[in-house]
Amino acid sequence: MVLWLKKVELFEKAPDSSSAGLSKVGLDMEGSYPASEVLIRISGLNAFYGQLQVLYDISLDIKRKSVTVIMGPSGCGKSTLIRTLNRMNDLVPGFSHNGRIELDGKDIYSKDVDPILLKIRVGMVFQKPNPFPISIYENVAFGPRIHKMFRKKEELDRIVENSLKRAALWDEVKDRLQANAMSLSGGQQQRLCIARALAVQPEVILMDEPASALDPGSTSKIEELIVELANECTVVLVTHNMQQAARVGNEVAFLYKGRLIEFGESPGIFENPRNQLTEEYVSGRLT
Amino acid sequence: MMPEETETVQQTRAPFPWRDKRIARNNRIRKLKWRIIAFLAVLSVIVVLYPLLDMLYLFAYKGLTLISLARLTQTTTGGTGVGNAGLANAIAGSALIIGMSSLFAVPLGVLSGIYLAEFAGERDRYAGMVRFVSDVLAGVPSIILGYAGFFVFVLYFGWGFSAVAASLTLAILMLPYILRTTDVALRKVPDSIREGAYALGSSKTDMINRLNLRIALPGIVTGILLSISISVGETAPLLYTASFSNYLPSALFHSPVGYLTYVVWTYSQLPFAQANDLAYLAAFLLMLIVVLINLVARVGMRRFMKI
Ligand SMILES: Nc1ncnc2c1ncn2[C@@H]1O[C@H](COP(=O)(O)OP(=O)(O)O)[C@@H](O)[C@H]1O
Ligand SMILES: [Mg+2]
Repeated sequence: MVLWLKKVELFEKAPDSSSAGLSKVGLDMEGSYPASEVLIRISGLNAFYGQLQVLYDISLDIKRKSVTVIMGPSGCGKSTLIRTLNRMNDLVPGFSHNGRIELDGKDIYSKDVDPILLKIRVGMVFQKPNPFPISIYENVAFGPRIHKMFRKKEELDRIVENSLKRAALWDEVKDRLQANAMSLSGGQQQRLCIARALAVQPEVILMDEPASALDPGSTSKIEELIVELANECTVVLVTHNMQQAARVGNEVAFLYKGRLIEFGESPGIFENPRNQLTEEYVSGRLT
Repeated sequence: MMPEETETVQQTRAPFPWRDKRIARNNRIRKLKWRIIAFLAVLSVIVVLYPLLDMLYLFAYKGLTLISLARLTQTTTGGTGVGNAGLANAIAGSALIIGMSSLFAVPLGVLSGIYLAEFAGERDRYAGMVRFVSDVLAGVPSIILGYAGFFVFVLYFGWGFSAVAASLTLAILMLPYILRTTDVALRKVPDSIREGAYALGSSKTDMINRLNLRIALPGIVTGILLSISISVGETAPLLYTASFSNYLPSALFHSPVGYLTYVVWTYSQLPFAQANDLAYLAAFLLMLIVVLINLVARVGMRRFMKI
């Protein structure tokens, strides 16, 4: 048994992505570009599934170390938009796009960007918690392991501990790190997924309705966490929940039927929406 | 607010007393149905289990009274039954054939299963063909596989009755089980988990090696053990490819090999008590192996799943 597993590993040894430095693939922009306030710049983005266009000419600047919220009714293209930011849509058959998405001034869809290394810089948390059915420890260790981000076991232990602490889960699981992740509650599972994403130290965390499958208590924990995280990294949060957008967002984009209707700072966009549609949505008349 | 609501409920119910009756009657029928089904279920368990336990008891009793160091270390001496001493040649031969066929079938089956589940596209013609052939193969009577093995390995390749010919034939028999369980177990890994791995920057090979195979392992191991316990019990393909030998296996080619199922099959029909005893003992050992494999599978899996 063990014998053939090893065989498989030899046979399937991945082309080692982590040995090349980030700079080699044109993603290490530190110092080579003036550190501007804007981390992600989306300009003129159109997106399609086959013939169906779902995003129309989106232009949007996402600021460093802040929470940018994308809100809008279900089906308006929020997930599609957020998933273009770390190239998760590359895997969707029939997906195509045009327009430009820059991370630190670098086009993330240009040929010299490795989508694998991009995902180290831009992490993601999904709507439904999707912990791996392995131990809590191994969930968090997964990213550091595949990218060989540590030399000694103790370093990995420290990464796991720090990530769990940052995700506000450490105290609840520190005594059962070897337990299966599926034994956690829904809210804990989602925080584990956040810890798992944090373990590779991303600069950006994309969250696609991370609390929509959770109870109110877990939701407010996640919201606190998001605000906390924005001190160290950039958070892009998708939600269809306006109260949530208002509570955690620094800047809020309102998306409707694939178009960016309004984009502005948080209290302002709710109190004095400039657009008729935004006003209707904010007041709950648009669904 | 609250009292009002209960009132409305009562109001709507009051004019329909027949409805409550129907509900009660339906409930009685449901309970009766349940009792009948439960009774049938228990009955069928007894019908299935009784002969099985009876057989287990018979062979365990016979086996335990017959087992001795001599019968395990000496070899059979031939069909006459005179001087039939022990099963050493059959035990060693069975172990050799099963071990070698697993050596062929497990890596091949698991790797093809990985290919089918992870690398073949939805409309991959080749993968469809492999699945079809493997399903057909699983349904082919083993005696036909034995006959094919005889022609190909024994005659055409000229290996004679031998451990290699027998092992390759059994490996072909095991392959479809291993391949399909690996395929199915890997395909059960949900897309949400695959997406989670990709979002962490995992390559496909990393995802398969570190995650999918791990998640699918219980299923894969179950398939392997199932295929091994099936091949442990095979006689027909071995008759054609291993023949039988009263000596301990000494060479891989051109050298007939003994095995336990042959002893059960042949020696139980001989009019010699000594031979009949060996047949009982061989049957007991086969049963023991199958039970052990299943126990190991269960206990091992339970421990594995906890992690
Ligand atoms: N894989 C896909 N293939 C085809 N159409 C899709 C796919 N994913 C989403 N869509 C369509 O694209 C539109 C936007 O979807 P999505 O981005 O998921 O919206 P949201 O996240 O705001 O609910 C919807 O009309 C949806 O039906
Ligand atoms: Mg969505």
